[in-house]
Amino acid sequence: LSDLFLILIYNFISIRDKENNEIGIIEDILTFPENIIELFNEELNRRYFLPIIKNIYSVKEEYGYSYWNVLTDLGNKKFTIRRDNYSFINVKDNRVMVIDVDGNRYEISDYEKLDSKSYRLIELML
Amino acid sequence: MKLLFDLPKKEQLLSEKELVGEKVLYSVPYDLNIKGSYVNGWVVITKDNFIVIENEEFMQKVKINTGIDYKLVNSVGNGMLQAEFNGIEKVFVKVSMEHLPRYTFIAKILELLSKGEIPRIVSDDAENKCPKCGRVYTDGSRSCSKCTNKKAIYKRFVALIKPYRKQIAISLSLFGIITGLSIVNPVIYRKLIDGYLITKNANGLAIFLLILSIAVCDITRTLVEIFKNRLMLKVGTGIARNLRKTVFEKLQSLSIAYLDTRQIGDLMNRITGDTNAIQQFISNQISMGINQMISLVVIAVILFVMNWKMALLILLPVPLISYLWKWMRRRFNKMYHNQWKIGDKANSILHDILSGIRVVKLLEWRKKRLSVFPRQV
Repeated sequence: LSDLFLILIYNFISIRDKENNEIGIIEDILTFPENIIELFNEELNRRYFLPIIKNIYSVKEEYGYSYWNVLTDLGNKKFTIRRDNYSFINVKDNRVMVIDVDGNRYEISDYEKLDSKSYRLIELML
Repeated sequence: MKLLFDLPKKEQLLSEKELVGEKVLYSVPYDLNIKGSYVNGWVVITKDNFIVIENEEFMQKVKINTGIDYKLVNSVGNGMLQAEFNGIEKVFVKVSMEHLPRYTFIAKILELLSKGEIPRIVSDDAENKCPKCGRVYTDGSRSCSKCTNKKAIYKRFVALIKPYRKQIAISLSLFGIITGLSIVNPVIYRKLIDGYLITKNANGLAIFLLILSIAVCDITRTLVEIFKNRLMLKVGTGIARNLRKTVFEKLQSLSIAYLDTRQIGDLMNRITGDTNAIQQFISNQISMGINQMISLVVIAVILFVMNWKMALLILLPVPLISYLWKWMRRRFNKMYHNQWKIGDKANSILHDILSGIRVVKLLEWRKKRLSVFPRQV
């Protein structure tokens, strides 16, 4: 699998070779045995990078930018976002997407599940 | 794009230990390990080898010409630096979007070195962050808002207001007169109340003269204020006009490459919106600020001269109020910013709807637009 490109489209996974030629489509990975599903997940996680924000230590605002210090599921991270309409997006229900100045995306899966301090820090942005 | 960073102390020692006598050509940071967790990593490249240091620990040394097909594989939100060794692909480091452009160059450099060629890629492009404090530069700017030489900014501001120095000097004198009159008035009131009303001293002429003085003071102050406001407005408008002209001239001299990266609305905001904000600042905020400062100092002096104990009592809550104000200001700032964001969004939506109004009418989207617009703003 490591030699193949995997592209996730909704429930379908398109499997391609190095030259981007499609080998086939997997309609539902859940039809595969567990060890294969694990391999799929490993590969997908390797390719799709989207840290989930678990805790927000501080949000400092200066000169039109917000400087965030957070704990993600992949470790501590400091990043900067622009204070505009495109960097802090309410995706659906309580899910929020945060996009930093370099184009990295971070997800807050459910802002109501954040601890009270973290919630207070982003309350006015919601 | 910077490709030759100064290594931190421990990484420098490890690099010297592993690459004895070799000249470091490139050294760049990376931020993700193979599993995708955040790390503090460095890749140090010489002509023949490169080493990987992660969280202050030496990870691996690779002889460059043993590998082929060095490349950066772009994935979703990250990239992987990899190469082929004896037919097997190997990933060395992963990088987030922050380092992705940098590692595109690094992959090219390693590929050239693996073929025995000398890369001519130099590290000369500017970074988008201040090397001193790490703050991001404002879009389209190459100077840090925090670290910029404040003296230079004041100098430019002084040069800007220089043509209006006479008017500003007159305005400052008028500030003094207004403040003086504001302070004299309560003194006359005190004389009137303490000297005549409380003691029931029925000296009609004296009372009339005191009331007349109060009226003269008030009328004079109002007239001076009107004159001063007109003068400051004139100064503010003049400075804003000059500034608009300067910004417009600067825009004309900018390259097409730069202008291509900017939105028209953004540039228009610079010429009109930002200069208007400066005009408002000069016409209103500076006047008010100077007035308040002079009043504060003069009133404090008078209070201390009259009764220092009372003065201390009055000034006692000042630190608490200052602290509360500072705390509130942060919240107000966020609220005003949100207000501005909503206004900005409303403008953008309105712009989209109005510029495509023909399509909206043609396809009968009127009802849909009518329901969408209020929800989005």
